[in-house]
Amino acid sequence: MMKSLVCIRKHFLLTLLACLSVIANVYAQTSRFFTTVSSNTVAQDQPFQINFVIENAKDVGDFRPPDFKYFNVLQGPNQMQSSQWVNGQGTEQLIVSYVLMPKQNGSFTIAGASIRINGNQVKSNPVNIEVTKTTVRPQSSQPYSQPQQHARPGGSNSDVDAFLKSNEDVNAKLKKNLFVRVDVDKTNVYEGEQITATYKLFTRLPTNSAVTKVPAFKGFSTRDIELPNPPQPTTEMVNGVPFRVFTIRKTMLFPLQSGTLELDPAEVDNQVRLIVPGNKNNRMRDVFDDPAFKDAWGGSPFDDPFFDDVFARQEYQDIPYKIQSPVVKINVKPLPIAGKPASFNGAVGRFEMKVTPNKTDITTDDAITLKVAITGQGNINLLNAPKLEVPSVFEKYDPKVADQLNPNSNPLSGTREFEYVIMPLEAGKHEIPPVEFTYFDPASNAYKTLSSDPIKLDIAQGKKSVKTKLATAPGRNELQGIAVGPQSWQLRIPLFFASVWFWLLLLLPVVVFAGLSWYNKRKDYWKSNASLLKHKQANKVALKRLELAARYLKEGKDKAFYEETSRAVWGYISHKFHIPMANLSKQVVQDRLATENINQQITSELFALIDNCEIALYAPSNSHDVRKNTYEQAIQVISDLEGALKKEAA
Amino acid sequence: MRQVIRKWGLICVLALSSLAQLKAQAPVQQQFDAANVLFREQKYAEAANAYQHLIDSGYQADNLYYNAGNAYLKLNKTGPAVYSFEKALKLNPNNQAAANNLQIASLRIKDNVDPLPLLFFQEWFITLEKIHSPNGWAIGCIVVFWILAIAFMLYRFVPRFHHKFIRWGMYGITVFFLGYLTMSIYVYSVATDDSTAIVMQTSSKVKEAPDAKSRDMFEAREGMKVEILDTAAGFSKIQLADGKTGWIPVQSIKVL
Repeated sequence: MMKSLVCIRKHFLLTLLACLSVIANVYAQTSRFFTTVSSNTVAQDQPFQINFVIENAKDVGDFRPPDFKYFNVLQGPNQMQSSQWVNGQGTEQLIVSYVLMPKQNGSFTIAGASIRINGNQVKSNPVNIEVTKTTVRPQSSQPYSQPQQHARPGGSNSDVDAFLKSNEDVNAKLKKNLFVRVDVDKTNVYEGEQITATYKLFTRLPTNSAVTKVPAFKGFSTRDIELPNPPQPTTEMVNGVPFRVFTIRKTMLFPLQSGTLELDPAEVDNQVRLIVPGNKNNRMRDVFDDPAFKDAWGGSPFDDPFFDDVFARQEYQDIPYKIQSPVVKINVKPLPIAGKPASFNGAVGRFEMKVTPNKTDITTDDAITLKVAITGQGNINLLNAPKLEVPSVFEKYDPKVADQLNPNSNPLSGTREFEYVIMPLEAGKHEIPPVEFTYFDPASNAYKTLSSDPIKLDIAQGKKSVKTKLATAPGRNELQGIAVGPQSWQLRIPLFFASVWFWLLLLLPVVVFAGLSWYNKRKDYWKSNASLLKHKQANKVALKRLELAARYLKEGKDKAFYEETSRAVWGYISHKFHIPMANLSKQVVQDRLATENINQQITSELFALIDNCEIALYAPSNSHDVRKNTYEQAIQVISDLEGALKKEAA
Repeated sequence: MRQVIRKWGLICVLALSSLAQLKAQAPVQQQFDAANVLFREQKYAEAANAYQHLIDSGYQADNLYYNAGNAYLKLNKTGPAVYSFEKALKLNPNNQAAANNLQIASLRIKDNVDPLPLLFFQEWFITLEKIHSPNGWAIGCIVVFWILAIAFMLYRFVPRFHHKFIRWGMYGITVFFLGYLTMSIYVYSVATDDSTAIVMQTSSKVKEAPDAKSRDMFEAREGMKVEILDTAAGFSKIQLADGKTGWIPVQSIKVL
């Protein structure tokens, strides 16, 4: 009962490990039958496991194990089945296993087992087992002669090592069976040359491992290679012992500086599950281990590892174990300075270049895309854009970079494409000079320069009129030269607006206008005064005519006054109208005044005056006031007449 | 028209001072030519010194500033270069070469903030402003005013010219005159404006308050054009083109 329980537990563990180990093996649906052993070299007191694996067989029967002549069968046959599907392909395994214990030391061959698959009798391969005397496994490398073992990991080799024997040192065992290694393909490289570093976990123990510190790779540009997830172990032989190997990290490294660079360690935390003998609760063991008992029996029968493993109460013990990979030093040489071309820009590897314009028949309206594709092997992900020298009639923009790296290529290979957009500004035949790209080839230790052909472009005038600014002036981004020639040297640019001259000159027309206005006004004034003068003159004429009359008025000579006034008026009219005195009559004067357009009022006043004078001659009033009144009337009439006639003349 | 105004301007404005300057002109021109030779020989530092000497002597010529700016630009002194080009443009807004090279110099200013793009009417106004030099506007103002006065006097005093077309023409000229006068005043105010400055030091910390101990807010880069809003205790309150304001030591900027 107890035994079967242990077995089931054991089967469970075996199944788990087998699952892990067979992941790497993907075979077609052909059925196979083969033998594996956990270890080809065993100590005499060491149990080991032999598996007969039947793969992808549907109809099996009649399994006949070989004759384990020199071995005791401790356990078995145990059967277990596993199946897995990888990429749609199924693999089914039926494993029949035995745990064997050698009876004596020496070299033995276990013949293959036979089985009937689909009606055919099939035999598995025989295996050689070297049985040594000592318990300590000989570390001297044993030529490993069985190729099938190489190809296929022993399904449960670690299982065997998981047994911690009572006299084994845990740390030594862990150290021996679980470690991390760094594989570097080169340790002496040029700057920029690729190195591939692989961090591997080697184990022969069932462990639960976690990477706690990944290397930082200071001084390198890194590119990780994708690893399968979940990790798939491979088997590698170390000193003749197969180890399951898990790749922790695989990285392509490109040194960015010269000197001695270190690949820092990776750290892995492990929980190692060891099967240890349960000493505490095994009283029987305590008794048997008693030296007295041992002496009596010449060695405890329970020293047999079988008992250790199976009958003794087994316990699992998880032992934490931290491991670090060793530090690897890389010597990075600087690139040779001698013969370094100017166009070298850090490319290391082997490359080819292809330059293609998208079109060569263009107008000034179009843009040309110039593709510079650099294909090859090396630090392609670090390539700088090769310099493109275009004539100034083109406008150039910064290149667009696109990478096409071959996935998981090692060494890194692929294509980096630079897309330059250039715009022609002028029509005509132009040439883009060759694009140069230089790389350093570490294989031949030399710089190599690739050069494209010059690209001839025939640019037609586009429909869009070329910006005149660009056509006439130098390029927009071109610095214009200094100005030469005589300059007007002034210590201070006087601001005319702020000077007094500005305001004087601005006021000048106002002054001129004011002066002109004043002058005009003055002229007008004099003009209007002339009529006043004329009136004055008319008055003067009247006064002169009536000079005598005025004297008579003063003297009070009544008759003489009227006579003189009448005579003065008639004389004035005669003089004015050039009519002889003899011809003068009221009628003639009236007609003449009418033709001269003289105001009717003046005419009537004139005649009233003449009538007055005539009446006064014949009927003298002899009144001074009347005479004075008449005199003033006369002056008024003559003045008015004179003024009216002057006006008429004007 | 412009030629005439220029000519008039020269006659009116410079007549007084030209006699005295003629004497000084020749050696200055020689110095300028010598500096140009140095520039041609790519001795940019010496050329810049020679130009600067002339500038420090007080000579105001747009091409002198322009050449100095070029020399500074070649020496990668962005601040003095931008300052010189701006100065050249201030003296002669129509100096195309200075405008072009100022643009190139501006590209070298680290994280320069582009000023907000101008609205269409602002662009029109700037084009209008560049029709004449500052003195050109003032001279034009007077010329137009004289024409207006003559027309008015003819209209007023000579009956033969008492015509409605003349009257309408006068209205037009009046509008013209007011335009010239406004522009003269505006251009004068711009020319005498000292509220813009150029950052001259490579990188100057702009403080939160006019105090060396106060917190740094941002960095003004050499060559940036800033607006001076206020000045106190050795610090100037500046505003960048993007609207950020802060206090900067007076010696890190140079007023245009």
